[in-house]
Amino acid sequence: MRKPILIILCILCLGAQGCATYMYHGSIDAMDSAGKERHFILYWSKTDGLLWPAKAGPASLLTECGNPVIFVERPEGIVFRGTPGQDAPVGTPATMTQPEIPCGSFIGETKFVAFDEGPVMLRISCEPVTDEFAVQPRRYLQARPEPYRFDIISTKEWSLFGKDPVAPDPPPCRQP
Amino acid sequence: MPVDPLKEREILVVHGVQTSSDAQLNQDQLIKTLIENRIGSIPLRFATRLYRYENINDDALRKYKLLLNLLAINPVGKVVADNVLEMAGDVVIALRNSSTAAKIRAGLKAAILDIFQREAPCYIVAHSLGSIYTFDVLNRLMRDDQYFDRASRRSWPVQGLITIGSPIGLDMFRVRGRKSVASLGEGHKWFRWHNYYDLTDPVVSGKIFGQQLQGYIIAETYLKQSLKQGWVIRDRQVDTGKGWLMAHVAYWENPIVGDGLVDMITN
Repeated sequence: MRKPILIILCILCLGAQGCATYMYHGSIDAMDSAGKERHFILYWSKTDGLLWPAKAGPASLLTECGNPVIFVERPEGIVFRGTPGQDAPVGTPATMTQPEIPCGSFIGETKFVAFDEGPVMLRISCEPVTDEFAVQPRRYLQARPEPYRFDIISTKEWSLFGKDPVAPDPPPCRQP
Repeated sequence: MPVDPLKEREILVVHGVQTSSDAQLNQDQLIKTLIENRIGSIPLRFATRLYRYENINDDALRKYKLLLNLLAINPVGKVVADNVLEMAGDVVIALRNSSTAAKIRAGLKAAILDIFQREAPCYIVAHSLGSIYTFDVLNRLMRDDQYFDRASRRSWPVQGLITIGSPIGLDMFRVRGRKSVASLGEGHKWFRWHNYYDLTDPVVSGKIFGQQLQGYIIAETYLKQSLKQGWVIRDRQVDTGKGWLMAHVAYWENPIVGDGLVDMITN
């Protein structure tokens, strides 16, 4: 009598770990901060569990021959928080004296979990700074007043125990 | 002994609570694989090392283990008792600030200074309880006048810190000596600390059933208004694709953690 109950409990426990994993991604060709035509990939993941609410993000913007940039969810929206000594708003000195530098954002989007497929408008307002510890000149999407448009699609996978998100590979560097 | 930015970078990995012995730990290999998967075409020479301290913990817990083995009534009970004692014991050792904890911190400091002696840029990835030991050692080094001249990163034994699944936000760890970070003073160089956490990780939240965290700040509670502090602290909530305890051990393969790590160690 106890055995079937135990089996049912085990199945319920396993089922509680089950979830759907989504990978959102989109890409564009555009100018990088050094003025070269490059390929850029934007991606993030979302996990929707059977027993817990969905969780998602952050997003990573991959740059051909350049550096990844992370966009995180904050009370003010989905933003790229620049680091002093590594990122600077266009037209300002490279050695900023504040730890918080707004460098980019998703326009109109505030929650990763609320997003479905479609366009993401993304703005970049900083340029990278290279110092003696950089192994190559830092590069990412060129800053400009107009937003960039990424058409985001998603893939979905079910898993009983959860699954490591499978991200797109960094774009190959065609010309350094 | 200034750091040479052109030398091979060394990523020192500090593990967390374990139930195995030092010889079985391989988190340095996991981080090596993660970097290799996410580095793309960036020309980086790097090596990963693991600071192992589980045998120090095990030695300290041996007498309790013997006692439990005597009390355990069957083989299954013995295995469960062993694992529970190992995990809980590791945490208690860290909390009690005992001589064992001091030994672990001394070993970690020696590992960092060994890399510094070789003039290699060092970056630390610390998981779970390892982040507590790392926080302590790092801040003590910063308070030592020999290191961390804010004007030059060449005097820094550690160039950046990544914590994953850290319990640093829990009240039990916010004790004397860990309530603030050491200030770097005047200057324009910034020390980076990126803290990655999954919303359902019970070690981060202290919520045993994995209820989601609310709010956005854990490590960032250490930020001060003063520019003399010199730290850039970032909390990054990351979706590991897994829930509850599985989330706590899923950071090692997460591509976002990998991308953030690549960006840190290449700069």
